[in-house]
This record gives sequence, C-alpha cells and structure tokens, in this order.
Amino acid sequence: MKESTSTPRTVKLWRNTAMMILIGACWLFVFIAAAALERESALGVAASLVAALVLTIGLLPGSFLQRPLDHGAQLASRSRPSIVVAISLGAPLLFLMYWVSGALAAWDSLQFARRYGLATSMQTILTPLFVAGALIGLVFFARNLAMFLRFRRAERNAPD
Amino acid sequence: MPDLPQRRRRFLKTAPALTLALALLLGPFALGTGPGRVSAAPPAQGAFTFTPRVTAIPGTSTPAPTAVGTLGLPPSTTPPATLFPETPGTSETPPPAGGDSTIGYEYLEGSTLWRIWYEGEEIIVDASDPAASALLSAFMITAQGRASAANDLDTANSTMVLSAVGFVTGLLGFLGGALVTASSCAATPLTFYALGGTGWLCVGGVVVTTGGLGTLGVSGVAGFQAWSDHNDAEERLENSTAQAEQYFHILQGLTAP
Repeated sequence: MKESTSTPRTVKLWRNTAMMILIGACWLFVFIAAAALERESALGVAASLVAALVLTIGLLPGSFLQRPLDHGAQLASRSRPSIVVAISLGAPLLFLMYWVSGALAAWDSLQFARRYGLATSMQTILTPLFVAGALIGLVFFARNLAMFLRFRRAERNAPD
Repeated sequence: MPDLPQRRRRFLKTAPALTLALALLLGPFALGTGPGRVSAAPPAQGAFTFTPRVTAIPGTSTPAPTAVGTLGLPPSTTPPATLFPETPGTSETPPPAGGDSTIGYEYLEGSTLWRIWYEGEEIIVDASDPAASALLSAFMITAQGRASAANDLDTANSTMVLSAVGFVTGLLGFLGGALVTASSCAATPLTFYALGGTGWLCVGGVVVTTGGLGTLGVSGVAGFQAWSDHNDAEERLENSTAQAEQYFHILQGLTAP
C-alpha cells in the first residue's frame, strides 16, 4: 500500500475546497431567501438570511468555523494526496457545472417569459443567483488548479 | 418467593396502571360517549309548537303589460350556451372572462358582444355573427389553454427551484462528506470497513456522503421531471399563442369596417 505523504499542497487544497463548500452553503441560504421572497414568505426569508449570516460570520478569520477547518486540514495531511487532489479539483468543477446549467436554464426561461408576456419575477431573481454561484465555483476551480500546478511544478523542479 | 414489602411495592406499582387502564376503558361508557351511546338516547327536547302569524297585505297587484323583447340577450353576466356552435371535444359554455392580460376575452354584459385582446391589441366581436362565432369560440378555448399552460409552467418552475435547492444541498453534503471521509478514513483504509475505526468523524463523513448522494439523486429525478413538465408547458404555450394570434387576426379582418 502506498504510504500517505504529508504535503502543504494537500492541506491547502483541502482547506480551499472546504471553504468553497461553506461559501456554497451560504449562497444556498441566500438562494432560498430569494425564492422565499418571491413567494412572499417573510419567515422563510428571515430564517434563511440568519442562517447565511451565521455561516458568513463563522467563516471570518479566527471565527468559530476556522477551528473545524484547521482540524480537517490536519486530517487531510495524513490522508492520500491523490484522493484529496481529485476531490479538490472535481468538487469545484461539479459545482461550477451545476450553477452554469442552472443559469442557462433560468436565462432561457426568462427569455421565454419575456417573449410570451409572462411574469418574469422568479427568473429575474434566479438568473443572477445562478451566475454568482457559478462564479464561486469558477474562482475556486481556478484557485485549486493554479495551486495544484504550482506545487507540481515545484516538485518537478526540486532537486532529487 | 417475594417477601411482604416487595409484594406491596409491586402492588403499588401495578395498581395505578390498572386503575388508569380501567378508567380509560370504562370512562367513555360512564360518560355516555361510547359508540353505542351516541345515538341511543337523544337528549330530551321541550315541546314546541309553531304558530305562523299571517298578516294580510292590502290591495291587489295587477301585472303591468311588459313588451317582450325579440332582439338582444337578457342582461346577464353568463353568456348563453347557444351563442356558440358546439366545438368538437368540448360541450361547455365558455366562462364570461378568461385568458390573461396578454391574450384573453371578456363578455360584455347584456349584449352579444365580446371583448378580446391579443398582446396589446383589442377588438369587439359580435357573437351573433355566424362567421365570427366559431372563430371566437376557438379563440376562447385557445386563450384558456394558454392560461392553463402558463399556470403549469409556473408550477413546473417552482418545482424546479425546489429541486435546485435540494440538489445543491445534496451536492454540498456529498462533496463535504466526501472530503471529510477522504481525510479521516483514507489514512487508515482498513478501519473504514470496521465503521468507526478512525472515530466518529469517519462514520459521520460516510453518513453525510451517503445522505448527500441520496438527496442529490432524488432532487435530480424531481428536477428532471419538472424540467420535462416545463418543456411540455412551454410547447403548449407556444402553440396556443400561435393559434390565438391566427384566430385574432382573422377576427380582426372580419370585424373591420
């Protein structure tokens, strides 16, 4: 069996991906709040925004979510790098693909509604939300890919 | 054999339970609310005699001669069913108003006239005109179908939003769970099968990953179904709009002076 290696690459990739998942969860709550707002559900809007706010505060430097993230990163340093790298590069890509397809569907619906004189309120809200979600995925994918390539190049250039 | 204090304690424990069970069993009968007692003895009613007080109305009424109209419809909000020829597949009288703000129609009270509109344009159609009547009926059915398709589209869109929320929740759970599972279990792969070998974090990660995957699958199926409903409603709406446009323009030509 291949021995697990302790590398900063694994730790950083793990932390980045975990951050993306938590930011994605924040964005999900904003998405729910927007959907609840369209349906005029004041309680749904309030609950979702509070949840998003709590998660956002938790992500701030030194806040309550940073400790579990550090703990996870410590665990990641003991695990197989190939698994962590695969998840770190695959997760943002999946995330990105989902939001892009959602944005395209919402945009198509918006155009259809405009063409046939239907109410466009929901699609008007959804399209930018999907686009912003896709941007989160894109930023993290680019970040993880750049980090992976940088570490790989550094490993290759390192003297044996 | 249990001694006396032990028996007493056991009795004290069982007696309230038995009493409660008996009370629950016999209570409804004692109160008269048991199934057999509901209609068996109706409550006694006091004797009551109704004596109508009739007041004579002075004078006699003489009906005034009224001319019976031979032209026009009686003022009513409901259009008569005979106004339109029977359309194959439907035998219902169209409602006095239908469609939506884009394409729709409205019955003008006390006349044979209908106001119909299509994307900002508006015309008044006389249903007593045999040439216009059939087209008007077809326009109404199309407008109703379009409104129904628009409603279905709205429902499908709402379902899609709900499944999108479920899908993202499942996706995040799956990715997060996979990340935690990979970091906590993969270091010592054998303990993964022992469930709990690397602690609650490994087991928790597996549970979250599985749950996330399940949510992802269920939401995906629901979303796919909603997407197909959405496409179906869109197609119906497109066809209805095209048909309504066609009928409207023909009616416009007929009503033009």
